[in-house]
Amino acid sequence: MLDGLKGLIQRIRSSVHRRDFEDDLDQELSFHLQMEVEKNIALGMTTERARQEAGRSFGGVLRTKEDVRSSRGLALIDGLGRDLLDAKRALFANALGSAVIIGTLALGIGANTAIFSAIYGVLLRPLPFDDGDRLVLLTQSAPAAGVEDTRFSVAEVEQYIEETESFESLVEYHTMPFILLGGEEPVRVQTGVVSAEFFDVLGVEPHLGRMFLLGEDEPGAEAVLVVSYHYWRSHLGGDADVIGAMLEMNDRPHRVVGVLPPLPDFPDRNDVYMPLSACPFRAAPAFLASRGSRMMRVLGRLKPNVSLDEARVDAGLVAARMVRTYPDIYPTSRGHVVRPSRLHDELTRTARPTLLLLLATAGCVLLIACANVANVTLSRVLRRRRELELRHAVGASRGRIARQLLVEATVLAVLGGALGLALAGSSLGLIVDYASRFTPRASEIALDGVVLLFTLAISAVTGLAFGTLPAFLPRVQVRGQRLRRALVTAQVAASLVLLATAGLMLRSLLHLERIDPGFDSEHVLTMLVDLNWSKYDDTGPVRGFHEKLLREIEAHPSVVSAAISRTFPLARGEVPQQARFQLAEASEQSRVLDVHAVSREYFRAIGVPLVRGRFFSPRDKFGSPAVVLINQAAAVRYWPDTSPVGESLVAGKDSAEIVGVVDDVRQYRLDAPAAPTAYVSIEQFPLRVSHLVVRTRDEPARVSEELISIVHGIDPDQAVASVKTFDNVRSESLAAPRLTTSLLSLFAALALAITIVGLSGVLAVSVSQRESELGIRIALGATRARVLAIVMREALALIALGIALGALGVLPLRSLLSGHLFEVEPTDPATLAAVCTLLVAAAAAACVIPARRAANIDPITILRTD
Amino acid sequence: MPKDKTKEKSDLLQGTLDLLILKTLSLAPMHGWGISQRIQQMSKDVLQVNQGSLYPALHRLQVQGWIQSEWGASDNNRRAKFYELTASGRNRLRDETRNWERLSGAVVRILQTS
Repeated sequence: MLDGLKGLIQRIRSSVHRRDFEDDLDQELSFHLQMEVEKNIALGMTTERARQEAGRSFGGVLRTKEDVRSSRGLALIDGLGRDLLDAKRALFANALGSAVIIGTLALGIGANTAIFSAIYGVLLRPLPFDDGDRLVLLTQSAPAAGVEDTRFSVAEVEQYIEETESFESLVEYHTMPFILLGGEEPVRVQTGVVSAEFFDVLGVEPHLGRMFLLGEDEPGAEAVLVVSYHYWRSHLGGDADVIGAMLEMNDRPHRVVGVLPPLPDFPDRNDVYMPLSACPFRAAPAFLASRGSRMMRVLGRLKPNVSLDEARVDAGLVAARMVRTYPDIYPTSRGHVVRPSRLHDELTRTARPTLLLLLATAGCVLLIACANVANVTLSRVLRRRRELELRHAVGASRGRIARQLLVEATVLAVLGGALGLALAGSSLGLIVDYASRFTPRASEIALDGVVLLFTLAISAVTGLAFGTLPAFLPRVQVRGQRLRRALVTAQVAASLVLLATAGLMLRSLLHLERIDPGFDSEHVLTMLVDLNWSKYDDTGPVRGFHEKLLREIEAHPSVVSAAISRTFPLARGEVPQQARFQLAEASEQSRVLDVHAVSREYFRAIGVPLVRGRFFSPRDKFGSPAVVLINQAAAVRYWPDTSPVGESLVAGKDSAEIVGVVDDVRQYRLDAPAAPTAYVSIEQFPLRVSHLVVRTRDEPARVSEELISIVHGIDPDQAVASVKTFDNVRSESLAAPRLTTSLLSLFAALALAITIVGLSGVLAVSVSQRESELGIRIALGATRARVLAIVMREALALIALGIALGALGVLPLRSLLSGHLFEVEPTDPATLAAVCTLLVAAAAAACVIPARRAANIDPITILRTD
Repeated sequence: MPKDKTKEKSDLLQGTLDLLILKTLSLAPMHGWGISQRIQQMSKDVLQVNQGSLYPALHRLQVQGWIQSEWGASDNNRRAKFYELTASGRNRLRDETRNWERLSGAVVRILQTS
């Protein structure tokens, strides 16, 4: 015990008095050597001989010192300190190489960390709902009519709740814009209208207060609200005293009873939630009674031990029963199908292919980075061969050298990883914003423990494995350069694949940017003017408001024309509203058209030309014979040989005459052609439509304030939201592909840069190895051009092989890319040719430094040295 | 792999070498070189102490607290590091000698029975 303590004190002392200790040891050992020499002289040797003999018998001084140190138990801590010092020296000695490795690692690790954080947050992490795997979304469709999602009517929801057996519970949901009064300006709040047990089914605990109570969705219950986390933070001050606050909405005050935790914005981004009975629209007896009035969504929780397939069959039986009971509501010509699907799949469906594509690309960049790290490591080992051999000769053990390399690699990996993490961290905001275009789960993306673990793992693999293993290849001196060539070839191949991907996406994006959407987006402004449901509860007031609004807006000197419509082209999140028409009453022949309700000047306001017939006119008023316009796609599809003008569209007892055909408009996406569409006039069919569309004489953003004040002048309680120019809308609709393309191009550029560096390094080593050969050639009369050609030839051979291999790699891209490309084949020859040219140019750039060095070889020096 | 072999040998001899060093130092304080010469002499040149094992052993014994060191002047008046036995080193020597005798006695008996 006492001895142990003494030893410890000794150890600490020697660690503290490190320099003294080393001096002591040096002196002690040199004394020993000296005595040995003197003894040898005394034995009759010459001084020279005596010294040699002493040195020989002494063996390795370094190793003895090392052993002494380790016998003092200093080795581990101390060795590490020394290794770090050595590593610092070695890394600074080859600062460029070190910078290349750290930079390469940082980019590769940063890109992968960022993408992985999105993959983990969106695809892998369990839903933030209690036991989220059992949550399902029910979808009704009418496959024969081509309608993917019909939504549910209240009667249908009730029947599923009554008659299915697979679900613990089913809950109803729809969303409505309401106007919140009491603040400085009326505010439009998107309101989720839900069953009382909605949040219980999701398994959500309130952040503050409580969720809805059973019975709070019954008619006559007190009007209560639950506020979403983001709305609470941004509009209600984020204070706990919001509980109990009264918010004026529709025609009565609502009491806030709870605040939700942060959740994915699904099915929609709602500001507040209210129970079913509080929605004035749903409460209308006519709406409740109509089995065909569908606007609800249905979510549910599977019973334990019930599979999704069983639930599908169960719900399907109920749907079949509906068809039998109400054949007039579910005609066979439409079809009626219900399908439960996992909520997780619904939340991530559109994000999955894009994220996987990005992961594959980022992984490719990482592989190229790994190749570069291995490459630089090899060249370091090759260059430091003499140093390492020397260390070995003077007694440094093999393990010691391995440790030295390991420490160097660790330092590089840690620096690269930390820098990569910093890169990923600083781009997190962009990633979240980007992912939010695909999935409501974007807000769950974070650099959390799992992501950090991932970063650590890839740093270890790329930095450590690729930074040390190449050094231990058997016969590394001989095979090193060959391996480096192979690595560069692989880099070229991978770069080709990435460049081709980016190139194809870029071409596809250019097609989308240049496409004629069918409308003229310049100088058009749109804003959302949702009418107050309880104030404008009948067609009369609605019509009155619209007429007054359009009259006053059009009177503004900067306004060319103004219209009101249910929606506008490329509006985000818009789904088709389809209807089925007959050509004549009771006719069997029917056609499905998208229906848009617009006011008279709509087409002039957004710049859609008339193909034949006429636009809506002032004579098409409320009460006059109904008229309808169709688009060119409908005319071509349904009246291929005749003119549709003068024909009729019939829905039940209503009939409208087709008075004109307008040009096609890309309504929902720029990459989808126009669907057959009918336009009805809101003058004739007054709807509470909400978008104001205004064409102005000059920059529309300048007049937006004045237009808003016109709205407030007509009704001070009217909220105005989402003021945008059409140019912005159009540009915004391409934001997701543009960002994807930017990311892919960034990755491809990284890959190319890393590859150029790798190629340049290999050529440099190759030139230095062939220095004497090249020198002799120059001495024998080879011109500089000839020497340059020799270097270039080697570079081009590597590039050519890489391109050939990369071309094989492009083939499997076809399936991965096909969903992302618009009017570009995945094997587009022009793109591939451009990419190959780029790679060859890059190869030429990589040659510059080594080739110049080769051309500047001084033959005299070479001949003298040899 | 010459290194590994040396290591094996020194491991094998380690206990013995410690004992020999303690014994040598029990006669008089001595510097490293002196110890190696003394062991060689006393063993009539049978045992050659490699300083590659000697100095690590000396420092190890010092860490254990069985010997201590001090700088002094050598016979030819050079600065040398002298080692001497501590009290616990003396105890250690006694225990180790007894152990060694018992062990070598046992080995001898085994060899004689064959």
